Amino acid sequence: MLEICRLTVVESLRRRLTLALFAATLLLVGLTGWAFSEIGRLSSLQGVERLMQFSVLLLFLMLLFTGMLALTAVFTAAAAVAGELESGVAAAILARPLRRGAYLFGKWLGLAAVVGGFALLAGAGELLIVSRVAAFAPPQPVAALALITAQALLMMTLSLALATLLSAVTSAIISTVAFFLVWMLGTVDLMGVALKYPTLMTVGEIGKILLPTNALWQAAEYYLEPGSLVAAAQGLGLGGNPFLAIGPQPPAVLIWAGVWGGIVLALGIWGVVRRQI
Amino acid sequence: MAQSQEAAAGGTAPAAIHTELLERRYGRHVALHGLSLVVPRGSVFGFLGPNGAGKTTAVKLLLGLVRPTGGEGMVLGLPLGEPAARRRIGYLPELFRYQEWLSGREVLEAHAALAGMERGRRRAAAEEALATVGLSGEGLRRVGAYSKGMQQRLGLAVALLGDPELVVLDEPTSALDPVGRHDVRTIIQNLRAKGTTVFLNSHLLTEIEAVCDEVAVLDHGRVIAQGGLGSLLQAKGVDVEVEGVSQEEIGRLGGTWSAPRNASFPELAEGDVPELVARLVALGGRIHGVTRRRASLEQRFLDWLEVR
Ligand SMILES: Nc1ncnc2c1ncn2[C@@H]1O[C@H](COP(=O)(O)OP(=O)(O)OP(=O)(O)O)[C@@H](O)[C@H]1O
Ligand SMILES: [Mg+2]
Repeated sequence: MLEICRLTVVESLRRRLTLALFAATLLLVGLTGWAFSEIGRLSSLQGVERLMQFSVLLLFLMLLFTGMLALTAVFTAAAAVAGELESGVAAAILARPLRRGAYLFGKWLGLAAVVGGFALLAGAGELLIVSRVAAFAPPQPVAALALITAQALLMMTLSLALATLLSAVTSAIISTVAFFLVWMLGTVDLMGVALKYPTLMTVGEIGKILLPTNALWQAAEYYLEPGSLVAAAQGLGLGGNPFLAIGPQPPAVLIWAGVWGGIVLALGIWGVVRRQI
Repeated sequence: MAQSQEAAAGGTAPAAIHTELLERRYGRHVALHGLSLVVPRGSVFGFLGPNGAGKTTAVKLLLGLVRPTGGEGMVLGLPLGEPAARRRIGYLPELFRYQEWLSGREVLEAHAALAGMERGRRRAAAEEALATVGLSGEGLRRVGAYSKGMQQRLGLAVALLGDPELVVLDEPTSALDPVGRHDVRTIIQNLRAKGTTVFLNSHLLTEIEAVCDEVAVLDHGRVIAQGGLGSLLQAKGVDVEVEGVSQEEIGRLGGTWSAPRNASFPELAEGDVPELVARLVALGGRIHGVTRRRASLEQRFLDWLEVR
């Protein structure tokens, strides 16, 4: 299992995936720094409004970042698993005294190291450059980063599980569509809350259960917003919107996200055990 | 080695491979039909059959890559699909591909690790396997830069790594040049000398003929002939180069006159050759040569497929 994990990491190094991710990190952090410094220089807003402006900008950029992360996670995992099973590399490996579950879990560990490493590194770079350039520091950056990373790992797990039985492209596309659908459902949920329209809220809740990535994102959002901003929004009676979370997510959401990941990984192992190589 | 250990333990060594009515269906299509096979330890077993006969399916079942839909089997004394048995098996898949972003030696070291070899021995085992298949100088190059034949040699090296007790080769020479084919023959003969069991899938009859002790012939998922090569190839008939005997006399002895001086006796059993020669001489024939017919495996193979 550890050997499979090692091979997975070596593969991402040799195929220059890690290099590409590192370059993406630099680019992302550079552009974010530039955007914040320009807006800080040009904007004449003060006080809560200035805070609001930076907060929305940060959440917007981080939302794009989580989308990027999701795509990276999904395509990396799909290619790593389906590619190996289809090409015949796995036939030689699985003829060794290695349980299929251990094989898939080794893959999961290696991919988690690469994807999680990218999420943490690039996410931390983003938050650091923003606090440097715009003097805007999210209140709980570590918790926020952990949640964003967890979101990427969930996407990776989903795509990995699908790729045990489907082709790489199919798995990646299904996972990507699911990711954006659930994001849309999350937004519908917010609208349902704002409009006090229960059907929309139910749809949103179902989305959260089927794929808890957007719930994790909303949890991360709350930790990225300055407390004074949240208080001000609550004072004004504002509801949540895609760029404003007015409260933390209940712990049940986080627990479910963890359980969900475990279930999907188990399904992936079932898939690879069932698979005829 | 394993055999002597087991003998010392007082038990009779189980066969290297033993299957009972092993079956694999894909939907309604039966890829392998009740395969019952015993491959003794230390033998070189040839598994022959035309395209689509089920050879690869059988091998995948033996390695636990595909699960049977019926029947059962033991490999090296352990039930099919048991990971522990695979510790002592080396396997070259039919469609071989190795991590192209690793060097040849790294592929072998990774396989050594997966096979449970201690870290300290892996490098040396990898080098040894590379040398055996004639890739000594190429171990540090990326597999992606190997030619197809070199990749097949690497696959052979993976199969031979760490002296397995059973080596399963699924068409090991499909990508090899004549030198490579000859090398494979030598490798298999060396394995036999070491007491390793070899299970060889092939439709290259000359390959099987040159190295196998025993063969099974498969067609449409069923075994249609099985046994020692000698008995399967035992053929009837002799050709005699003879002068001074008339065509009618040849005919009375059951022969036909085929070319000048050439009489053939296609139905003559091996044991009756001295008798025939004596009678021809008694008739005043002058004999220049007697050739016993030994069917080529190819001929027999075609016969078997036709008979069905
Ligand atoms: N995954 C699969 N799904 C459906 N049918 C399959 C599958 N694998 C093999 N078969 C069928 O099983 C039969 C036996 O295939 P197999 O690959 O074992 O043949 P083979 O003897 O190795 O042939 P070849 O000499 O061409 O390698 C074929 O008819 C094939 O179509
Ligand atoms: Mg085949």
